[in-house]
Amino acid sequence: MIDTRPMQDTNQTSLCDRLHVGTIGATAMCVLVCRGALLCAALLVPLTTAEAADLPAPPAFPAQVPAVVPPPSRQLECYAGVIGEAVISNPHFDNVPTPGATLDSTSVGGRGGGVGGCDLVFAHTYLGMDATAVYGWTRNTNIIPITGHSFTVNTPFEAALRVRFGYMFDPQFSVYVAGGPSVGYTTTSESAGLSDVGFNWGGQLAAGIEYRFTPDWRIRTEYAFTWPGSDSIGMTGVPLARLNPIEHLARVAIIRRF
Amino acid sequence: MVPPPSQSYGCYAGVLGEVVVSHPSFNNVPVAGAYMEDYALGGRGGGIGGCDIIFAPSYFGVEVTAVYGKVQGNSSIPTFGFAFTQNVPFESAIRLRYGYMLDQQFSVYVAGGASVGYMTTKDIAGVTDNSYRWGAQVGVGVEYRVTPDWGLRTEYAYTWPPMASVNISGLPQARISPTEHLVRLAIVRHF
Repeated sequence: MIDTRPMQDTNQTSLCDRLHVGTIGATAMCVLVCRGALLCAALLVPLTTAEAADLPAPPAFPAQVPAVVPPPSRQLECYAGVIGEAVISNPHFDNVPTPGATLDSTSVGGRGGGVGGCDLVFAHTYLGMDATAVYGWTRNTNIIPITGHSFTVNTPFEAALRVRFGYMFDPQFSVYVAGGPSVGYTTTSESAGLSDVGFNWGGQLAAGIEYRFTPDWRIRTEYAFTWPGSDSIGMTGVPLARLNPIEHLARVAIIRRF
Repeated sequence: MVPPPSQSYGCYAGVLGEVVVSHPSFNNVPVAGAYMEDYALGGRGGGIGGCDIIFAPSYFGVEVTAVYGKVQGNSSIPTFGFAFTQNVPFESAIRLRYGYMLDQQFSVYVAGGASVGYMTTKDIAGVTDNSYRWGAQVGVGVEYRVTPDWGLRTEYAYTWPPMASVNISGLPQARISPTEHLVRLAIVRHF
């Protein structure tokens, strides 16, 4: 908005001065009368025009700026990096060793790989997608009750495609949540000879912190939970055996923006 | 002087399509005490409508969805003489929705509420069970305002009807929970 009132006051006061109105009170009266009367306005125009050469130059009047929709404040950032994770896996067995029974076990392992993605960065938030792929070792061996066979589960490979939403505390620190589908390659084997290998689809949820130690480099740490869901497996003497190799992941990644 | 309220109201309606990955879980199938899961993949389409109270930069509202299609799965365990087919062709939900605007075009939201699905089943002996099953649905999504009046929305939603009995011949204690993972895309017109 452009305020034009000071300029009008200046011109009108100068005009009253030039009409030889002597006192301050009379000058004010002149200004009020000039503001209120159309006749006076008609009088002002020729006088002002006639004496334009003697009047001080009016202040520069800013040109009327057309209304322009500001461009979106968001920007696109992509990145890639390396990731390492410690894995605590809790394979959950259903119908083992008998229908209706459950069996849980624990294993610890680690994997390493890559991470890449893109974010739409807004004022204090960002929204994007990332993909991870890791390879390593998370092996677990159990002795199955009743049958007495040993049974081994390993998920050496896992990948996930996730949507990620973050909030920036300042230009360096941010927190985020992420989630999306995951796929793991799981192998099972038992002392009696049966084995299964295959990809299991599931889901992954994560929460983490990201620190940008330079404008281009950042370090990220997160907790993620992966649940592949329950799938039937071959187990000698246990015809309805099912396995759900859920995992808790503690991850660290070093990432470069490009 | 009390300032005028900053909130405004907006309603919308549109079309909705979804891809469904379903993992029905069973109790006491194929024998008493056992647990098993099935798998079904399908798709449905339908409509969506709702209203929001907008408190920039957030909004809060209620919406209704209704979709129709085919989400059919089959399972069989020959050693137990078990075979079963289920389908959930219709599903509807009424949900509360809370969103946060990242800028004038992008927003993210969470939603949750009650859902109802119509499920049909048939076992190896021809026994059927057709019924409405109530449950709940939660979703998270992103909405992009292509123009001030038109929006494009994508979301993930999870629907879980609780375990309920189902007619399967020879299994009087059989129960089923046809949970679903939904990936949805909607085009909505704001008015």
